[in-house]
Amino acid sequence: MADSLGARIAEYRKKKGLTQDQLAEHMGVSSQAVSKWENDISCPDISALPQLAEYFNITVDELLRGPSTKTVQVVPQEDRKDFNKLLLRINVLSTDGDKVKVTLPLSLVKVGLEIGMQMPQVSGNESLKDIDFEAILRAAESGVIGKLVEVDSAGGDHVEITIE
Amino acid sequence: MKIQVHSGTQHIFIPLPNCLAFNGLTECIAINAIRKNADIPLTHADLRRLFAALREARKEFGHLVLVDVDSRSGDKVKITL
Repeated sequence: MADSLGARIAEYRKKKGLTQDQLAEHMGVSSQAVSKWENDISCPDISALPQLAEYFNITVDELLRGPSTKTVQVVPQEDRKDFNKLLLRINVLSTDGDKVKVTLPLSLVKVGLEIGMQMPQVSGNESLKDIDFEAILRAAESGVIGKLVEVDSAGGDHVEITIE
Repeated sequence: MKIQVHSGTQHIFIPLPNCLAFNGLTECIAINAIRKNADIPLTHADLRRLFAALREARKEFGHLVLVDVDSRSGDKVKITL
């Protein structure tokens, strides 16, 4: 999902099969205004956000922040993203105060595991050594997305693994 | 691929074109380095698969930040695809 509000508006508009003109007409603004929203030059008026969200059948929160990936969900087969477009995010907050963020395409993780690489070798963090990444990969292939792992290791490291 | 390292007053920025990073020569260098320094039984074929997957990822995700490390002491390492 897109990172900015404008990109999300553009994405939801295209998903709905609308042109900028059609969205502008529905919202009662000019098509230039919609173009500016989508290019993050300006933002929709705050009072227009509920109308915009309702039009896209999403919540204002989803419009502003993107779909939540915090909870684990199983995406139905027809709505699933291509496996090669999924990302594995690993966040490690160590007791020493070091922050490690690793973001890897799942296709790359799959190749890495197939050739015998281990995640601690990639991230340099031993707290990942007991995590079964093959199981995470299988879950992703079955349509599971969201925060799959959130653990505090014995050493005090906090580890989060998310598929999105 | 870009590699950025900030450590104290030292700043290192290595812009590495992917065609230079992932080719036959780097494959040989990487295999030797991995055999010397890490316990990963990688073959040339494995590394070629890994390079191919990295090239595909570059096409799919653009300049994705693969690794972002912020140490407590203020050191930073960032590797962008």
